[in-house]
Amino acid sequence: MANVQEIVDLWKDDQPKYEDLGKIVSSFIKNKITDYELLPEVQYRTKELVSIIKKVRKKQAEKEYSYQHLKDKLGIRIICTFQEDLGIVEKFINENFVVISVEHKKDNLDFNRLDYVSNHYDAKIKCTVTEFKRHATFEDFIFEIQVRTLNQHAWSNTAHSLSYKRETDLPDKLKRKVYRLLSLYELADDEFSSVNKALKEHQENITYTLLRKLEGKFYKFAKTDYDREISLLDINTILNYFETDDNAKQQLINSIESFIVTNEQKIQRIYNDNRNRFYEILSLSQPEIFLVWYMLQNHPFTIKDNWANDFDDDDLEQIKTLWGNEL
Amino acid sequence: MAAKLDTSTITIENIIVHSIPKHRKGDFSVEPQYSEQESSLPDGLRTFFKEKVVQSLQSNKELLVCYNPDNTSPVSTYINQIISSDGNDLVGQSKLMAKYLFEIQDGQNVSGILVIISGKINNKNTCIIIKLERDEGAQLELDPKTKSFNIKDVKDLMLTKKTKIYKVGLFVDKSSFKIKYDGSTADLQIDPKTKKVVTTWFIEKFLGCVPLENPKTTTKKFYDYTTTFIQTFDDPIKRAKYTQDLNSYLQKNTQKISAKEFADDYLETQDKDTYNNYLKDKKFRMSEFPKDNTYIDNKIKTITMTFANDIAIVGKKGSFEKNVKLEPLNDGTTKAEIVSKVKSVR
Repeated sequence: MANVQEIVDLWKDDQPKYEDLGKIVSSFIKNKITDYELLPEVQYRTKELVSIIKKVRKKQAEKEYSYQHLKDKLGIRIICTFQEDLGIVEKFINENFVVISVEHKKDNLDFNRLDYVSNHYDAKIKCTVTEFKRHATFEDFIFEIQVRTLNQHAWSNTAHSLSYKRETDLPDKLKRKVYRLLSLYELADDEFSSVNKALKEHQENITYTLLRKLEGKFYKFAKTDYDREISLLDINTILNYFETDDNAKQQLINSIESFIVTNEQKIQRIYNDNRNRFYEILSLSQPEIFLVWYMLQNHPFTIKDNWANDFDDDDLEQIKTLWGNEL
Repeated sequence: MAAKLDTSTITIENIIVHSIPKHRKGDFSVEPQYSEQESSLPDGLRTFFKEKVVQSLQSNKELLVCYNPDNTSPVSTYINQIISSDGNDLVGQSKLMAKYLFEIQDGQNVSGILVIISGKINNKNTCIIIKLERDEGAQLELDPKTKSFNIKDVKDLMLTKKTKIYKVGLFVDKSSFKIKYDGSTADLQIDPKTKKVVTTWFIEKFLGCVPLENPKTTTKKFYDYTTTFIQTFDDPIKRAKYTQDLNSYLQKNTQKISAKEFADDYLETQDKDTYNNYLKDKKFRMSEFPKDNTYIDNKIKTITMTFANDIAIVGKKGSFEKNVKLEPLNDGTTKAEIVSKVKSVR
């Protein structure tokens, strides 16, 4: 049986280290995952001492198991908006961590199991990654990364509160109720995904299409969220400057992403230099700044001639100054 | 391949300020106040000066310049020394610049402040010169302990109406960029209400520079490109209007002109951007340049409109617009109406 005092002593020593590692890893993920054009919620926790003892005891009843076998002393959780984000996060994890094992729990779940669960990765920091180089002391520390959608997260939390453990413990009538609930969460994820995909491809609402094209890029550089209502209003206003010139609008939609990619280094530098000035240059905290830069480059007169009707001239001057010019 | 200097990459490393008092020519009873060391530069002020430089060089007043080998100004030598020493010689060389400025100024010149910056553009060394001109008062005070001026006082001066004009010059080692020009300059009026004529004194006499391209050639290129652009319009009435506008613009009593000003003053908004992109393709800049009509004088004095039926109307400056009424007809032809006495037929 588990030597409780031994676990207490070991964890007393290890917990602060895992806490530090948790801070390092979650901060790394928050900062770096935006490069993949996502802005998920990232959390971490170190396991409670009591939970460690209980888990070791429980596992020991099934097999040879000790404190050292525990891989979730530190747990990192990444909560994404859409199902399709899970694959992108997996790519991110594989590129930045040493992955020891992966479990796509949903794939292994029998159709009649009452669960809706996330992807789990047992991982270690990859010391070849620049940000981890100076944390080599944590090189051998294993931790668990859970990646789930918002709906998986909601299900998991609610199911946890309901405290049911096994389907067999539930009467059929109740089991059916839980199945129905569960299917709603799964359906919601599927439907959110298909709506997301449809909206991205929906060309009729040009303002929305443009915002969706800018959003991921914005996360990448700004590493923060933005006000969608303001964005939609601003983009719509600026697009109206083209009046009847639909070709120019279409050209903009088609080339805005390549404009951002071509100027990636410059945009990155502008954001790096001004990250602590978002409060005084509010436009940096909204994705439509890319649109204004595009306009200044390709339709400078259109934007300058119309801007003052809707916005403050000083704001345009500020955005223009950030971009600079070529001599 | 030549690199484009990107002003967004400017970083300001060190900054030094000297004060040049107003004095009569040959009157050396007053002297410049020199800083003996660089001014301390907090991040906020670093950003302020960078933005001022970028805004100046983004303006319509920006002009690419080369050192004129025939000019006696030693400033290019001082600038090159600052650039080649990685800014280490900033104090000594900037004092020499201030001394030279003081020597060439006379009673006509107002008192000024010379701000010299060493820094980087595109990660390579640059020397930036800002000259502030003041009409009155607000003398800077040299800190007796640090023997330098407080850079915040300079910022305050730039934000008040006490400073009417400031001039900016940014210089690089052109060989390291493989470019044909040594720098870029701009003359700006802080208070747009000031009607003071901005002269080329700063560029020519102090910096010892000339425009990158001969103004005669630049003016001709501007005329030729703009004329070709105007010919791309299908609408003959628009072509006629823009041609008259171009001729009028070139004959205005101004020393400097720019494609940007022409576009702003005469073209419709959507045509402005097409014009901008057209000139960008031709590598012709939108910003200001000194006007010299020598090569185009004969072309801009008259306007000729030739019709498909071989009838042509020739008008002198201003007379065409006033006396020829053009009207588009439904079949795509144009009706031209002239009401006047016949003067001669030949």
